[in-house]
Amino acid sequence: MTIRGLSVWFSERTVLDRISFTACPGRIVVIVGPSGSGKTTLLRAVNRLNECFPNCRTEGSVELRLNGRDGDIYRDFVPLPDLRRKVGMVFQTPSVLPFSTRKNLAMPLKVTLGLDGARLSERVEWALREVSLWDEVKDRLHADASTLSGGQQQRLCLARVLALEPQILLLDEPTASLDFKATEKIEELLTKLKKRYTILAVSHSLSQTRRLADRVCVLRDGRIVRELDHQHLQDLNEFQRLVEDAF
Amino acid sequence: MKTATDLLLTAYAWFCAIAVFLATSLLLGFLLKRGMGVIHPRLFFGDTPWFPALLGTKPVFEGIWPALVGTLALVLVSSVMAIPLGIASGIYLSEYASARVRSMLGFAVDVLSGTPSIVMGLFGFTMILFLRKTALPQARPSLFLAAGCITLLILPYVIRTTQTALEAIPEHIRLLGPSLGLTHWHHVRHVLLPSASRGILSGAILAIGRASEDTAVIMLTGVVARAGLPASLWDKFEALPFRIYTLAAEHRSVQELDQGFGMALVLLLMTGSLFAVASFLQRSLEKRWKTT
Amino acid sequence: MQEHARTRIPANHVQPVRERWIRRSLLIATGISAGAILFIFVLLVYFCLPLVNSGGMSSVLSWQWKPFGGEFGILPMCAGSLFLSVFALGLAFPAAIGICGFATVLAPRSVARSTLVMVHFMTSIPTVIYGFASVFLLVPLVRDWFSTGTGFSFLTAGLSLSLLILPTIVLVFHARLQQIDPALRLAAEAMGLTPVRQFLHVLVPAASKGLVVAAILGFGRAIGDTLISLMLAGNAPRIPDSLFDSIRTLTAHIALVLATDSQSMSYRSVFASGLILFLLMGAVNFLIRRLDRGPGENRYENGH
Repeated sequence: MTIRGLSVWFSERTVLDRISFTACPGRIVVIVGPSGSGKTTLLRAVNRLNECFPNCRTEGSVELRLNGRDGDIYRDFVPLPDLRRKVGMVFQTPSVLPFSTRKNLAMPLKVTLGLDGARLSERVEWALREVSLWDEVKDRLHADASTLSGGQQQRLCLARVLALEPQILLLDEPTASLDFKATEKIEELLTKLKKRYTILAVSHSLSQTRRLADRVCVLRDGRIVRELDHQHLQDLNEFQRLVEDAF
Repeated sequence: MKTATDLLLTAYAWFCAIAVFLATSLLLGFLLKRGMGVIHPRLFFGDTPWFPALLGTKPVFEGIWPALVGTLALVLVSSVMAIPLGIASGIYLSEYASARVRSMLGFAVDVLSGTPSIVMGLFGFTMILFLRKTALPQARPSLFLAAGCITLLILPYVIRTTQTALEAIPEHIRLLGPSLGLTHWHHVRHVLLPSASRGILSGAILAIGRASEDTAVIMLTGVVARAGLPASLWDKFEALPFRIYTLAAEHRSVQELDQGFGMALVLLLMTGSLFAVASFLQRSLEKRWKTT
Repeated sequence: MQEHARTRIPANHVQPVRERWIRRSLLIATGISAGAILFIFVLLVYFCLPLVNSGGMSSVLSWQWKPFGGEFGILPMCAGSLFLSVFALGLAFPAAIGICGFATVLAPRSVARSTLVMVHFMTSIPTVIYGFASVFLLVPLVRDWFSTGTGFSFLTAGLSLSLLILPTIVLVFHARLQQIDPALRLAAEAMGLTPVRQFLHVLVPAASKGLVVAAILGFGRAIGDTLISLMLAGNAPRIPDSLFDSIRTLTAHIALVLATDSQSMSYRSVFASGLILFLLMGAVNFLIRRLDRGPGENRYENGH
């Protein structure tokens, strides 16, 4: 993924100002910054979700390699629904629908990919295993998904995204609403998944950033003010200082 | 530090609450007392045995069964027309229309909802006159006409609650559909509608309740005091609220009056239970969004 | 602050044929709903036109209603509707504020909640039931207590009507009160004001627009109601001299004429009544929309 000169405006207000950076599979990039610095907008620029909001204007390019081809997503080199399947997003609050656990997973597969029957069940099971949820829910696949705990729901949302076979994962403060144990589980998962996917995450917690990130982008007022590499993250004090500096 | 005014006003507030509570309880209690004893198969079917009366093979003269069936038929026909139309309009206004269109059409729907029911009945009446002059010279008041006017009456309820229920869906669910790559319609159908289902359902139930209690519209479009079971959509019919009204104005015996109380109680039970279901649904919907 | 997210189809995205058809059919459905109101208006005007043409307007807009004497004035009915609704509002509005104050600051929470449940339930009681119960409860009461007339009077109808519109006013105003920023309520508490003062001097002014909207909606409901005045007000087509006189409202007039009279001029008066009511409610709606969209109203509402 290569982002070049990305700027986003909402009704004349500049939210992102000429952002440029790169990311690739095997590395988790974490975006940090004070509130209102544009972190979520940056994430949403990669799956073009900003366009769902009124008065949005975007300039610059986001180049991805999808299905073996390179291209700028803002030049429509893939249709929008396909793009959003290849670039999966998980939100801060678990967005679970009022169906059973199984249907939550199966619905997008059926509706967008047209999967059915045995292939559908296979994919459902595979996705649940990927997020280590299979053993916990296999006996209550048909129970309403709201009966799952917060951490389980969030993992379900992740499974739902993985089932569509994306190449890039966008995570908007995925553990913000979860307790310590659940957070731990998800962080483990992410570390396992990074080998196969390009992961771009937003985090509010500096300690989580230290645990997960291979690279850190510090955003302030819509601009990248600092990019930190793995060595900067080793020493806690130096890390804190660098980040506070940038804030 | 409480002054005399404070105490006075507090007493006033308590007085208001208690007064209204008493007035309502008096009203309901009175109906209950006078109507309770009458609730009995005889109320419904008179002297006719209940089974043939249910099947419609034997006519019921002294009972309220025809009126009850009339009301149910009216509600059924108008709901079948109003609910799908209303939900579709609500979806369009909430998810497809531009802001200007939404404002204009929303105003039209609001005016529709503010139309007094008697004016709606008048509209139905004028439809007959209009049709008689133009396309259908044999046009006459009928169950279908009444149901059509009731449809227009309850349509705004369904539209508004559908719109509100959809607009209440929190942002992260609204973004879910597009983020999974669903097309707009799939997003509406598989993400938004299930999430708003309870609100929409409660709106439908409210509409049904309103259809069952209306008197003014049907007075002018086809209801009569005595008609037996509605033979077809194009005939005149009886209805509970109208029967109640006529009995209040003119009852020929204590028995008839008692019937009136029985009917009032039956109608009250009907609307009351519909209301209870609708508000239960509405509250569980609100609770759902609060915990997310 | 970002607006409520509406998922829009991006301009450069090709819509599959199915999407377009769905969009079209939904538009048609909405069009039918909105078109209905236009149709109603057109039809009413159409049937009123002969009045204007034949100069019958002056006859209809007069003060005497004696159909068999050739007089078809509906102004007494207009006055009847107006006076009755204002009276009902005059009773219901202060009581509604009292109840809102009661439920918001004065009563213990469980009592407040049950009060609101009761008020909510009252909205589900059919009008005809209010009328029916009043005929056998209120009418004898008025007749005996005040020992005048038959008991079917302006007062009887007014009392019943005020009970009918009370829940509307309470619920609308209460909803507005709930939307006030909790921080404001805390601030009022912190200022050391008694609950009554908090309510009167802080909460009510903050939701003042809601007060007006609630009153207008209540008034609209009162004017549009048919059965209560039909069953309780006596239906004499005169301007009332006292509370115990019998009056007739526009709504009851329509019902009575169409049920009994057969002269065409009477019919015309009915269409005029209908049109007046329709326009009145249209104006009410317009007013409310205007108020709802006014600037500065959101200052005290949640989120700012």
